[in-house]
Amino acid sequence: MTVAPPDAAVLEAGFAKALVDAGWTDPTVTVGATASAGANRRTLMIEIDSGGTTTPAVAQLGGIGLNSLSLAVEGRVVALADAAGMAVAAPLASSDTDDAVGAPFLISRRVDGLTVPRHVLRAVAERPELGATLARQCGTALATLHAIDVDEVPEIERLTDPTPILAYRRRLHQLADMAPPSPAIALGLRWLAAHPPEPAPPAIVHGDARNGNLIVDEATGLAAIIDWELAHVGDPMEDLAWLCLRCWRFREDDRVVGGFGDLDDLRDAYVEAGGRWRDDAFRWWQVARTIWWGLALRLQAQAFVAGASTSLVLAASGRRTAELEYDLLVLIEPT
Amino acid sequence: MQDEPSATALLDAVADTLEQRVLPGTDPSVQHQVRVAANLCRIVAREAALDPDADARARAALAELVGHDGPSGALWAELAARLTPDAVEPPDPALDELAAAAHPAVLAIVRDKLAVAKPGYDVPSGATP
Repeated sequence: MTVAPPDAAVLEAGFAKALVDAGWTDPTVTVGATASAGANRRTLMIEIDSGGTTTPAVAQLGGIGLNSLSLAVEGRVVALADAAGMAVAAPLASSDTDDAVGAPFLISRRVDGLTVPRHVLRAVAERPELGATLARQCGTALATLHAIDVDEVPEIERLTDPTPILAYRRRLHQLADMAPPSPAIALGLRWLAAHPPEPAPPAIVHGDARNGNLIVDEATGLAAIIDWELAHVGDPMEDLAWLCLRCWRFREDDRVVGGFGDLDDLRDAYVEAGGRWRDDAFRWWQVARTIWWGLALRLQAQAFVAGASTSLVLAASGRRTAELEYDLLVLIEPT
Repeated sequence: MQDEPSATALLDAVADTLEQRVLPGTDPSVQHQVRVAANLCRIVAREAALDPDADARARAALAELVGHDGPSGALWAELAARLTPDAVEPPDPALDELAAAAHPAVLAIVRDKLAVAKPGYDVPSGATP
């Protein structure tokens, strides 16, 4: 089940109108190739001609998934991050309704670079200093995001009641109630309950900052952090822990940060840019997000078993759960 | 009872065909699904070979933890239900002993699952989660 591609002429007219509303002068939009078509969203390459210059851009079309943001709200969060100086794909125009082109959309500036994790890791293998640079840039970018005043984005979910830790535990229990049972997950939930970290002020959390959602320039490193649909207000250490989970290292397990960098580089850059690093919260969120991904895979497999999807990729998720169970049991192993 | 080739050999042959013959000529948008299909064939081949013994081991370990015998899947679910804490209340200390005993037993079962689904994932290689 994917988002159907609407007629190019309809898209071009609808995008142009939204760009006019965003302040562009006489924009002409040309729709190019479909870059990706996922379960909820379709991404198109587009060109915007205005005032004699051509701006390469991407348009994302589609609805919203479980616990994720609408494209227009996502655009407003990315605009805040852009204004704060974070490396992002700057949003140009958006619509939260189906009126213009038959689906909500977000148009963003196109950022060139590598996004496929194995391509990123191949570039790092050829030029090892790129890995350290990337790890530092991720630390700086996340510290910049986490310094934004959370009151500036009223619309995104606040996973903060009464604290980010307790709110996220509640979220995990809701998912665990829906997913096929696992004693490994149960042991992880017990560990989370027994090891709450000291609380910290809530921040805007990207929610999915990891190798695969980074655009990487082979020469200069981090060009943008993309895919903000899981952004929320919560504990800033959630982002740093997720970036460092083993499932995003793509077998380069000794390089903790995304398979490309060392934890020291990430942590030092995060602290130098004003972030507050908390070791106990880092570990807590590693456990919490490992449980979350383990539950998400179980729910994907369950969607196949229940007949809600015929996707082979979702079916295969049912044989990936053991990886997350293993990582989880090692993370919480009594010492 | 079937003649040769065995189910395992057939699944490996399907995986080889998908990877070596089908994948190169496949539209890029479908290549990932072909890779997943080939990998699933190899997983199922290993599952056919390894799972009967692994299931017997899991059942014995789980039966000892929950205190009675049953199908391994039902025992797995029962242990999970007993160990899952309340979303708000602190974990029941009366279950600490069961949790401590369950950790190594569940880890052993998960290693058996990995031997089928992702061999080598649990080999210590300096890998820290």
